[in-house]
Amino acid sequence: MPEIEIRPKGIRATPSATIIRPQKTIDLAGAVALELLLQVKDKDGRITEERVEQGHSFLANFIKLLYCSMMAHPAPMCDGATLQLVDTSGIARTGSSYYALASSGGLYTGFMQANAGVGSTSWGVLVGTDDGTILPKDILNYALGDKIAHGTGAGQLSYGDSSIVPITHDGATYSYAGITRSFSNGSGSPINVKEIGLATTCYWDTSTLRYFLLARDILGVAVTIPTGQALTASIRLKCYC
Amino acid sequence: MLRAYLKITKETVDHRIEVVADQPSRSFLLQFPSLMARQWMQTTDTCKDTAGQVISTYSAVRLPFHVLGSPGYGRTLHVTSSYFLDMTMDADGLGMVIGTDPAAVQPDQYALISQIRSGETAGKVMYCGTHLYGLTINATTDEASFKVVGIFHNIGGGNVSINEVGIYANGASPGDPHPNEQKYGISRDVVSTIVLADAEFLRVEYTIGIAT
Repeated sequence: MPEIEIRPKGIRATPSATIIRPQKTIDLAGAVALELLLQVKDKDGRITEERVEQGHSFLANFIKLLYCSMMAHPAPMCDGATLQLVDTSGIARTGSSYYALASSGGLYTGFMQANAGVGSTSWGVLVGTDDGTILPKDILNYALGDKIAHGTGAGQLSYGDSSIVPITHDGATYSYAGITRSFSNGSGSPINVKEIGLATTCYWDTSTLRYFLLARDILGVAVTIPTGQALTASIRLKCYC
Repeated sequence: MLRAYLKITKETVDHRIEVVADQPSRSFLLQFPSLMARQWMQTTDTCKDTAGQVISTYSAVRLPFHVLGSPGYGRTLHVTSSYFLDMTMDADGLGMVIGTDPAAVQPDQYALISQIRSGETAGKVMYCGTHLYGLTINATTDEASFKVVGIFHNIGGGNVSINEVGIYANGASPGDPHPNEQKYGISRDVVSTIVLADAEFLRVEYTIGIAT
């Protein structure tokens, strides 16, 4: 390949050509997709970066819980096999109709609850730094590969409150609703977020609250949160007609 | 990503099984993300039920996507626990539903446009219930799915034409500890006209699945 010498600074540049292939087109008609809206905001609330990414990340726990809810039974027998969810610590938990259906807080009242409050990193919208190297994407994932801790120390983010993304539709092709959470960087250094997850809490097998990861996405390109700025991550459940 | 696949078969009077629809579903309606989002947030919001009424849905919706339908003229479901749930449902108000209108699906629809009611007289079809089965997790292909099936029997004495199918799911409005049951249309699909003759059975199957 010919080289171009740029004078007088003596900097050499090597021309190159790259074939840019169009992204693989995904037919979304009929799909219920997770869509990630990621906004980085400065201390005045101005958006310094914004992007929308397509999520691909429902996990086995999600389909099992949806099945349970449609079945109206927390421990349905699937050809004789007892239904289990794997909690965020990696332990398989067998559903109990007594606890999971108890009106004191099981599936009755907390089905897929994800509205985690300030500082909670056990459930709700979660963020991490793994790009799939530590934990490759898998339908059996039960936790993030490298979850970011809550705080203002090195590598930490301040987990904020959760809020709802209200129902929205265009009248013709799509509708969506979802959940939003903010993450502030007071650590003193930029932090790269490379994975986003959604975890629920509920009573399932005992009177102890469990945490189950429902979705996990590894971002195509990391989102950098400069120090003093915040990431607002919205997970939209988007239906396409 | 979650998708659904629709397969409809009918059993003729001479017991032949015919596939009358075999197509991807295109039809999750806005009630689905709406109910899910309020479950995530445990918040009270409004949503249209299958009658088109704007309902203040209860934040602690009990089993919000419950679709087990009603064989015959009604059904009582008992879940055995100290907090047992006792629900009596309409024969055709929950689970798989069928209708006659071929108009295109729009995301803000809340029900079938022209539902065929359950019954034994002309123009009606007996709703024989909805059930779920076949939850499968395939870690090799990163796919998981289950099936929702509704069975219908035409005993009205004449042909019935079907152009739309859908799923009505249970939700609730305030009234804890026994919220008022509400029904929400979470999906609707349009199919090429299916003629169900007298004495024929119809089986509508949604395979709901995810793939990473």
